[in-house]
Amino acid sequence: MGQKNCYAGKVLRVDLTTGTVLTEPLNESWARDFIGGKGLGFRYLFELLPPHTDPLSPDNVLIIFTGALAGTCVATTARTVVCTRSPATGTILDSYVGGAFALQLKLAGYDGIIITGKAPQPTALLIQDERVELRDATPVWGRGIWETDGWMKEQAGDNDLVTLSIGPAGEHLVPFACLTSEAYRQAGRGGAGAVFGSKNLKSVGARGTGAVHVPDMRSFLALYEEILRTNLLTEANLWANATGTPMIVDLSQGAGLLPTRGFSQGVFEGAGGINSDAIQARKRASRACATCPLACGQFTHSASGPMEGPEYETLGMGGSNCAMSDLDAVTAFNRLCDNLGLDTISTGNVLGLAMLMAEEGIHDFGVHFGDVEEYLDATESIAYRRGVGEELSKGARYLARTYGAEHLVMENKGLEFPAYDPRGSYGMALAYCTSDRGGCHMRAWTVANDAFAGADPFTLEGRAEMTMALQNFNSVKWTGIFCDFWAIDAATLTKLLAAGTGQPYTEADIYKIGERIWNLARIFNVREGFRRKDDVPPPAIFDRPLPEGAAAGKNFTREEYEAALSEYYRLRGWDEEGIPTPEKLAELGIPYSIFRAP
Amino acid sequence: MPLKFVNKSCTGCRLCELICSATHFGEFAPTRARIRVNNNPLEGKSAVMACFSCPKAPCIVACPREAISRVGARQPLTIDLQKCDGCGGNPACVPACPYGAMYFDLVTQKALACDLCGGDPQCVKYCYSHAVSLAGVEITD
Ligand code: SF4
Ligand code: SF4
Ligand code: SF4
Repeated sequence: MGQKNCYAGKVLRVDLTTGTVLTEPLNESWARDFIGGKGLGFRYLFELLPPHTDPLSPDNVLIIFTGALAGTCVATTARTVVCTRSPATGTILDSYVGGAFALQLKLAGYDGIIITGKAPQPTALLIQDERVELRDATPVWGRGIWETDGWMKEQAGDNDLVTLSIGPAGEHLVPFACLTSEAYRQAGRGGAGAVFGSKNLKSVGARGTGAVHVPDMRSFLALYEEILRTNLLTEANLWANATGTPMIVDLSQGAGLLPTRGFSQGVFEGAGGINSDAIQARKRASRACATCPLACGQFTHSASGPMEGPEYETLGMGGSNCAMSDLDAVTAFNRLCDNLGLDTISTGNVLGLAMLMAEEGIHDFGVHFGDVEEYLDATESIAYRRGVGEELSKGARYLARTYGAEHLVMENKGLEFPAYDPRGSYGMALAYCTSDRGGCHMRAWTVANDAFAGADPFTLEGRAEMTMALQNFNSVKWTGIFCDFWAIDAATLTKLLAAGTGQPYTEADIYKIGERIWNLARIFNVREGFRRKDDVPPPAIFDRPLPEGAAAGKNFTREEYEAALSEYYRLRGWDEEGIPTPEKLAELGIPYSIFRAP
Repeated sequence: MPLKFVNKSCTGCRLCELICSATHFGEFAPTRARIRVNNNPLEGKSAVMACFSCPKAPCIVACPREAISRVGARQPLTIDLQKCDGCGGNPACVPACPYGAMYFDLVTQKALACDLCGGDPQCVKYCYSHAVSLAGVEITD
């Protein structure tokens, strides 16, 4: 391997406890069956992580993987995935970040990094081609991510080094601490930052001066040029270039599902202050991840400073959900989160819940809807787990259970819901609750097929099938690792993966690999004790219809949801508890022996 | 017609580097590209540079082997790979270029400058934001 296809053919293994660094060949048979990214990351994790490992113990395993096509010219494929057991949920976790980390890691000669153990003191992993070193990171422990990134570049003596770093939030083991790369890009969800922190790992930096190959460059470029023109630079994707995600604010508002005031409303009277027009008024430049012509990053200058963003999720969770109608305030919040290393979705969800709890007289954490100063102070306190931040940092599920707000909370498996209220698009309830990493919209963004597409969003009919199909397809799409914003079809995906890897994949193979990856994640979660009872939405979805907007008064019953869930399990070939059957696993080529049920 | 750069349009995607190395060397190797991007993600800025065959071309004068030539002012450089010996790893032409547009290929140990792809510049074709274009050629989408 290495010269004839897009793989580097090598994986780095780093044991932080002993300080040893080894290279090993990429497992070729796994590469064939799982391709890259999410697939290979999960396969390695499943092999290396013993069941019931405490996510914040030295025994947890961190897997950082490139997609198969990283380092080639194919748009969006320089994304990186971080796989581990999530401290927020206890489920399997795959968290993605754009930018150029995967490009540099691949050019350095590695498909992925496996990190185990715990360093005796703050440590940074510096990868420059075959030179791989652990450095004492004490000088930047406690510092923000932007400073850390600069320090890493100095250590490397190379401005093109790209890092994944944690801030104080990760160091303090906040379960929704993220990794930041290139200042404003995050592996946001599920707490990979806390896993870094628990290992005393401050930053991983990569820079490569090598090359990435494909089996036949001439035909690869010819294929890509055609796809670029006819499949990527088309109306289906160019919204990302023109406006990026902020344009979703008006869509969600129109559909009445824009989380507002702790998910107690679905329309926000101040949406005009945080929508795409507000972003465009402050836009200075378009920014792109490596290889991507879409350049969806809206680089803005506001009173709170320059930044790439905010993106839709932050505008929703940190904006309307906290009743913030001033883009300067949301930008200040976003910059704090990016530098301190907090996931803006979970942080905004937690703050919105805390504000709602104050309004409902349940508990006053000193944060109230629309109060900017409190909001920014609390964000900082969460990252350092001090004062009111100590409680808030434990997440929405903890707050709900401890203070009696279970009727208000919006989360699944401990992962806070992002910015699409399922009462305005019922399919999203199924999407969030059957997601492999808990309340997440990325595995099946069904809202795009109904509420945002003029179809009936107030039904669960057909949503089990839609959710399943999207989950399978995205699983294989993220072996690339392709970005969500390229609405790529299976035929094109198959052609590109085959041309890069040299494997004669067919469309049928591609669908099967997606399903294989999804089932592997499910048996991981089943092994950790997750069952049907964990796949249901929180009570507010059933009991508290939204008061106004397009989704006013809409909700579905527990019985309707359970029926859809049963249908989903049936379509998946899982039993009534959501456990994949031995026949299903055999069909997908997953050896039943690796699935030791508790 | 030489290349023209508009830094404020550059998104930092490095596609030009990848395409340039792929078309010349058959591999994706940004450190072998004849065009280079300098990114500053924190400030949201990028700068892109390649040889644009500047009027004075001090690189030509600097080369002790007379390996660099051009057929006329503002015409792309030709580097004679028979003559160029990489100055034994310490190339004279690289620091001679005031624009940082002459590079050194660590694989071949020879100088590396934009050859305009023989008239059909691939970076221009792939740069969707038109940060690199051909001077004097109107941009149409
Ligand atoms: S392709 Fe264009 S936008 Fe991308 S880095 Fe090169 S010059 Fe900049
Ligand atoms: S390499 Fe530099 S000095 Fe030589 S012609 Fe090009 S721009 Fe001018
Ligand atoms: S015109 Fe061709 S040789 Fe010159 S920088 Fe662009 S791709 Fe490279």
